Amino acid sequence: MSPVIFGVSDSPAAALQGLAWRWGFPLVAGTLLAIAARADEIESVLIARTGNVADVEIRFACPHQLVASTTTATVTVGEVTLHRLETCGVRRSNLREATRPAGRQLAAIDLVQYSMGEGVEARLKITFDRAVVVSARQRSDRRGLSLAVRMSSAPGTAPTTDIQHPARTLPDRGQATLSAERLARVDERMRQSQRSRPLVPTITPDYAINLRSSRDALTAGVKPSIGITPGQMLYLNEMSIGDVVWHRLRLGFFSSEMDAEAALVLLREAYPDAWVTRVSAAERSAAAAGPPTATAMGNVRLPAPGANKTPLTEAEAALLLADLRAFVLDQNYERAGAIAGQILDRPSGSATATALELLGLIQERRGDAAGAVTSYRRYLADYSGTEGAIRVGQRLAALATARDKPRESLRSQGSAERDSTWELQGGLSQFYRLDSVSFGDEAGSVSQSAFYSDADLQLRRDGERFSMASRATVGYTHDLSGRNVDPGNATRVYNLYADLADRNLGLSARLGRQALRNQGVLGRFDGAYVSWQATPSYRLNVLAGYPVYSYEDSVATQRVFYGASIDLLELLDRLDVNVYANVQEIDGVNDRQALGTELRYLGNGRSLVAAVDYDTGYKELNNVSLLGNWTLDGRVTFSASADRRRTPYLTTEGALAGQPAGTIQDLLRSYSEAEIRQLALDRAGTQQSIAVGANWPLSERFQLGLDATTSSYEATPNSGGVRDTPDSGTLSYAYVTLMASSLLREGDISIFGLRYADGGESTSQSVFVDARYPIGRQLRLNPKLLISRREFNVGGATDILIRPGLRLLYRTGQHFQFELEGGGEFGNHSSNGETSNATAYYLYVGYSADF
Amino acid sequence: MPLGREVIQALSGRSGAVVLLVLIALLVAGCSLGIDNRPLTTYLDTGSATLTRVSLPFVFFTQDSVRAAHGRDFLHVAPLQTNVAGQRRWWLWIGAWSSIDRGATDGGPGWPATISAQILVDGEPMELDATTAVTQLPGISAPPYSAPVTTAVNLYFPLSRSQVQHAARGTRLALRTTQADGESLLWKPWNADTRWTHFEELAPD
Repeated sequence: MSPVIFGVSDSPAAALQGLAWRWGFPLVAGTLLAIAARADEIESVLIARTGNVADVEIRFACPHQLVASTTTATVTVGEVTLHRLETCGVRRSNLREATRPAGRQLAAIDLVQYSMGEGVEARLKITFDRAVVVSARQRSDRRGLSLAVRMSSAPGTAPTTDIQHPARTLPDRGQATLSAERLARVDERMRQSQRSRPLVPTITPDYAINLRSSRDALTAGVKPSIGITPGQMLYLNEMSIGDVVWHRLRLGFFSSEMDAEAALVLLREAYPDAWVTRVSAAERSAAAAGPPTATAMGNVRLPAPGANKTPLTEAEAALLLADLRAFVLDQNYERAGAIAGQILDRPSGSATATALELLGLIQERRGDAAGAVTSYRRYLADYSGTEGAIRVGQRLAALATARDKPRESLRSQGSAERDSTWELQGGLSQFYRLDSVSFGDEAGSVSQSAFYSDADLQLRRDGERFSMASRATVGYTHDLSGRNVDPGNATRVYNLYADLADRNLGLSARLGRQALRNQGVLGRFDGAYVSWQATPSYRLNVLAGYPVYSYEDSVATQRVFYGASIDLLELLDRLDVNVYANVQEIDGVNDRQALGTELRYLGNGRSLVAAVDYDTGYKELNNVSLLGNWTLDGRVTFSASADRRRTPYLTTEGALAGQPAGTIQDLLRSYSEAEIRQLALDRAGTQQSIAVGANWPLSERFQLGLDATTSSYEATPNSGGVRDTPDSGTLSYAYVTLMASSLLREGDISIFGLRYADGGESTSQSVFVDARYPIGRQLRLNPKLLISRREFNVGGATDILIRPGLRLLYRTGQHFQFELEGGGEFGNHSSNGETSNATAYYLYVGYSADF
Repeated sequence: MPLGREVIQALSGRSGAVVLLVLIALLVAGCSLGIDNRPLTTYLDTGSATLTRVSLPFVFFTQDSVRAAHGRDFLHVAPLQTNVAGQRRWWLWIGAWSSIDRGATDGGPGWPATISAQILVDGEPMELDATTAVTQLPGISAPPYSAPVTTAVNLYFPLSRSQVQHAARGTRLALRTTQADGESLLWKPWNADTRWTHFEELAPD
């Protein structure tokens, strides 16, 4: 990038940072550290489905507050606006990540994308492969988000009866709420729900899709390549307008308009002019009584089995079934298929259900996925509510999942064994970032000019017993500024691990660079984590490794930790408890010796998380926190939290703050271990905070968010040559946002916000607007503007800040996205009658591709 | 110092011109994206429901020179979308009125009841569901349109999303109604522009 655009000077970066801090320009400070990183912000996405509603649990590595979401409307792209509550060791902004989670077909998900720009706002974008209705809810620990995705069954893709197939990722050991036993419990609940479901729908299906209209008679030329769900049919309908007779090909019948519209999405390519209509009872009757269109339209109706034939006797049926099973076991599918055909050719009897299920299995193993789907669907239509329906439903779901993702699978052609399924997915992104800042009349200086390349690869194999997975999330920063300041050339390693799980033994292990933020672990580490599911209610975990405080660091062995924990799951059906012990050493000295617990209560619309971390070595509480969430009427969400914690976390290494020594060993030359521990205590101040928030959907298009926080930071003493810090007093923040969707055009989102902050030394008020306008299907514009005024209590100084920006997103195809963002920051500082200006610009351009 | 003066002062510097240019560019971008040439309007109903409609209804007519040489029957027609408690539905409003005095010519009470109606999209009939047509929109407190005369008959026919989209793709639209006496009427557009292009924005994919 040519420096002519913004000019170059040799001003020291440190001076710029100092000025930026004094003026309170978060952008200026932020841009000095900005990065385009592909991170591991999404820890896991777990999907389960009951009927037409899929539950999607998205777990974040870092706490996020739900601010706004596109809820309740029928969408193909859902957007959720979040506020990142902690940095979690990530020092830089412009994070982005995309994932195609396993089992996503159950929720019609195509892609889940996370992005975070400057500041704390993060965005989650979920792309669906059909129109769905989505609602988002905050999980109580603020590390999770629950999405309810409501779909309609559709011919060709979705099962015609409820399918129970929670899509399991490898055990997510860090999240007790997503445990394997919880999934098993969900399974059981779903089984129960299916048993209690009526076998015959009570709603009259009176919606149809008008596929095609023609003045000419529709004959054999029409061959819809669509799957017809049992119970549905193609039929012809005629309507006279004056002397003209219109011949219409229709697909019916659907129990609701939504079902029909969902089915139409899949037929749109073949029938671009199709539309959904409600039909009269007379039309339904005529369609049922009229001649089948099968001869003209292809194989439309499933043939009634056993017409004009005598049923098998019990003895004949038993013999044939025995033969059928034997041939299946011998993998003689040709003979087995012939026998299944003999049974199914007769009127329905005691052997029909088993033969139909085995026929599906035979077809599946012979690679005839379409035939298997037809057989399974027929089974589910005829034997819904039986024990076998659950099994067949799961097979169908697995088959549908496998059929929907052939591009991602490394499976060899012709093999349908689940044991041989490998999945590879990932993404690549490259971005260039340029920042320039100038003060007063000075020429602007380039504070950052760097090229960021990031890649994320995930390999997975799910077998009947063993599951394996591995993930590599790496990046490289190429600094083009030519100066010895941030960011500099650097390799970043976020994840580099392998997973292995044995379902029979209940054992799972993860080895390599990984992140964990509970059980006393402070974040990313290089090491091993092993779990054993002893019983459905108990799980034992052991872990050890070397903490990683920066993803730019290689393995650092001066710090080491060991830990163990036990999970007590679903106590009283509502409570999960984790109790842990964790010991960490640095340079042979005890660094941290934690004993703690975490409790999670999940009730109906309410949840509570409590955590305590106590250092037995220092005999000090490191952290006590309480966080609650309450959803009223499924709409208004209230949240409240209170915590008291050491900041930074109490560790012996904290004693190095402000010291010339770089290591604890160096510090031991000047101080005794006891003195060092006292220094560590002095540096770890105590912070207390209370926060309340509410999220209120005023209507489908407007949503109001209110957040208020008060906090204080206690004084720290003068010791070891480090100056004391005074008590901060009470700091208050209030934040009001109004989110409007489809304000100017369908699909747009506008967020208006007011922010007030009383930071002790100064107070500030801000107003901002952030809008996103879709233009067609591929382009999205995101203009934003912030105006802020900050007044200092001492000296009467005032800052005015204006920060405009414009972001452009262009998506081409399903897997490629181009992004361009530019903006500036213009400030005016007034003090004692003197004013000065500061200006900063940034440019951010690049692409991301995923597969 | 008042905030307004400070903002002006901040904008009056060398960087102010750049800020103003950016703001103007954003404003122009916003206007060109959302407002330009858009007849759709959206407003909140007093019942906290949201309603999106076209600004001006379309007008169709039939002539009945037997009854009146200069009188005509009119249908004012407009699509709209309601969103009540998150449930989005599409409707076609039809306001029927006449300048023909049927009482004078027929001695009867007025029009026979309409039993079916179709939108003709480039000639292709697309039926409206007369059985679920309503005279008042559910969840909406005030009618979004009104015909020119108070004696007009107002009906709202439910539309599916795909019907709205299909109508939007048409280049020539008309209406057809069938009355209880068996008579079918073909309603022609009063204005030359019969493209309902903005239907598409009313029900995007």
